[in-house]
Amino acid sequence: MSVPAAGGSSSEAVTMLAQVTTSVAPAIAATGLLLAIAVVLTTRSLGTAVQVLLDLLLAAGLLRFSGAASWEALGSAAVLVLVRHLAGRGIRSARSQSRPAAE
Amino acid sequence: MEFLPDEEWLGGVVNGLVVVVEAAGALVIFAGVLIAVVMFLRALPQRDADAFVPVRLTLGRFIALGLEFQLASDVMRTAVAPSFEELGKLAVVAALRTALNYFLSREIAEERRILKQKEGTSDPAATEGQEQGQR
Repeated sequence: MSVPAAGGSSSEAVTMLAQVTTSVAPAIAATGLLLAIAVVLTTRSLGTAVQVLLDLLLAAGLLRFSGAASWEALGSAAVLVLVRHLAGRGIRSARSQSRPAAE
Repeated sequence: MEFLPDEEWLGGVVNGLVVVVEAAGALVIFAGVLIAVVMFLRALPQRDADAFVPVRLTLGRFIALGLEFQLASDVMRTAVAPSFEELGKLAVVAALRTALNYFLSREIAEERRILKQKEGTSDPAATEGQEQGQR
């Protein structure tokens, strides 16, 4: 029968996709960390480095998030989104406060 | 009603499509990361924090596009979610991705506005310089 085979193959494909994305995500997170360090060293701007790091961590988190999702993965993704939003907002407000003073 | 497709068959087809769409979303995000890393490496020698803004905008656009694909797969999954727990998970995933997409779009718009403002303030200076040079 083709029906159970189709369902089985799609669940296998979901597992394979989750495996691929889960193995790629740490590499992206590590790249983000290295780039953030490079940004700090070249520009001396910690805010920009944190934003670069958060962007790449978000991409890594979203890749890890695709495929089968457990409640734990959902919780960690929610925390990631919250932390990223709060940190980005803090950095932007700090920049907008420092900009008029600098000008 | 034998001419209508079987529910299990439909479930198999939708699940297959969900995998394809979700994989496309992951591929878009991965491609965005690769392009952004290359652009970051090119912007590093400039030693200017503002040089990273267009790179972050590009990465943000790719992430937003990938999120759209993932949201589409969530919507497709609701068609074949059999249990209430699975539907609950889908609702949480869709809410998270929608919120993220919203905040990301706002950030992209804000960064773009700041970039335009900077270009606007830098342009008059450049034109003034040109005019002084001509005098």
